[in-house]
Amino acid sequence: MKVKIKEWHAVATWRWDMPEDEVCGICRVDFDGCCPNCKYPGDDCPLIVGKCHHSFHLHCILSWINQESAKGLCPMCRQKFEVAA
Amino acid sequence: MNQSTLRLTRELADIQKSNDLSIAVACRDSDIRSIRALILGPPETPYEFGFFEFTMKFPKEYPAKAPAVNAITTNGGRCRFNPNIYAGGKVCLSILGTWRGERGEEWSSAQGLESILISIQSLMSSNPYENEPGYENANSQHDKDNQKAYILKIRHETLRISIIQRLEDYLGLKADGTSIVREPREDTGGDSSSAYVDDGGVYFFEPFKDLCKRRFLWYYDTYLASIQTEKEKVTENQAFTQMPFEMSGGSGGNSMEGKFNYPELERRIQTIRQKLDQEAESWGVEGMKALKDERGVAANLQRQFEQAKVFFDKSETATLDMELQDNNPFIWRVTYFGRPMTNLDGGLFIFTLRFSVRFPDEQPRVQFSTPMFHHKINKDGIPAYFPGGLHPRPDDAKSHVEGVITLLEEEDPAYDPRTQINIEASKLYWGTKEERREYSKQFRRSVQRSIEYA
Repeated sequence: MKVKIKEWHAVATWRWDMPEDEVCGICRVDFDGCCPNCKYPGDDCPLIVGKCHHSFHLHCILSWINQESAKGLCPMCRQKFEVAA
Repeated sequence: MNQSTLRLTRELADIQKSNDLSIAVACRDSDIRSIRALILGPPETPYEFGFFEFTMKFPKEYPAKAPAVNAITTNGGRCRFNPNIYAGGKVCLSILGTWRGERGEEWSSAQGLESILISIQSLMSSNPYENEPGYENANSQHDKDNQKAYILKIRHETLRISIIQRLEDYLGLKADGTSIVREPREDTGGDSSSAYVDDGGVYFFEPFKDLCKRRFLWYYDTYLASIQTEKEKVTENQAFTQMPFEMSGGSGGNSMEGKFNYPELERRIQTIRQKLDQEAESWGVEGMKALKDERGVAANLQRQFEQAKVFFDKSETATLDMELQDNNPFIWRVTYFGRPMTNLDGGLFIFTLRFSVRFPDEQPRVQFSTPMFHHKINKDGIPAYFPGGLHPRPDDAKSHVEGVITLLEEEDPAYDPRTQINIEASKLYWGTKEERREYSKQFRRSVQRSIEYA
């Protein structure tokens, strides 16, 4: 039997390059989901990786770092939080 | 919903799902940021199997900011249970910012509900004297005597305040064993508002009432054994030793004062036990009335019983027979037949599930009438089970039957002292090779005898 394709729809999925089932240590939402203040995951709610190798939603870590009591430390390991290059 | 409530909802659900034996949490639907937590005193500490309750208030900024945590199991502000848990309720913990901590021990947004509760639980150690700053390495003879004396009084007050007083309070009992006469409450027909007890116009939130009653029944033998052991170590009416870090006196006091009186605790704990048995009995009577009045809960349990019966009849894995006692849908009698080729072979075990008209707010009371020798079933025949089956749900009555069967058929259980409610059997089960053999022997004997009780 010969099949002739007349048209086709391309469907793609994406996910962050992160281990599955991992959650953001601050909001506890999957990295594939977005932070609690955003509606859709994606470029509008990006992830960020620290030099200490801990990752968060950008919005989550910002709300923590902007606290004076945070002293600029990573909430997981309490080393200075710096963005990995 | 903002960020803090979203995260809290998630954390609450996680803890409630996890069947954690050491911690429980609850809140009113109307105020998710006020959480009640219950910590079970860790095994092999003077706090063993006590019920310690805390309030936690989470700010809008959570998790950027820490919650405010207060101990409420304090005998009305008169008992400091731990160097770091004050009579006034203050919980000194560096992650909560209520204690000067080393750098790196302060609050961070990666901390949360569960990590706080685990930190508090770790304060309840086997030698709490060392928690007091400056006493970490105190090792003089005087300190050693104090350490012992501290443990002795904590054990007494754990039994007296966190267990006995709490249960008496739940059951409307006075310390002398008589009942407090309460205005009859309007029967709420099993809706969730039954968790609110009207007491002189003030609404108390008692989310752990049913849980504590069931755990009390699990640990009853352990409590009694503890009273017997402790009784030997002190004399009646001996005053508690004051610790150097405790401050005595009046309303500003922050200590643990009192006298040992184990004979009284023994009497009170037995009264509670009787009252709980009467309560379970009375559920059957209330149930019959609910059946006559055609209440929803009666129809619900009747239907669940019929469905469960069909399920087990069809099931090839479980071999059991179920019937209602006196056609009462609130009392299920289950006869379980031990399967061939297992250590239950030839056994016939009968257990009863008693349901409340407030089911599932009040969970069933399960008890074997066949005498059992099993490390997870206490001398009174009460099993330390969890709702089981493919989809364990506390409101699914069948899950409770499945949970008991899982317990019976379990082959290689992990050691968890919190489910080892039969002291004698547990000691043998987890002992030397010879002791394990002795356990198996006694277990088989109880299986073989089981048929005589049918």
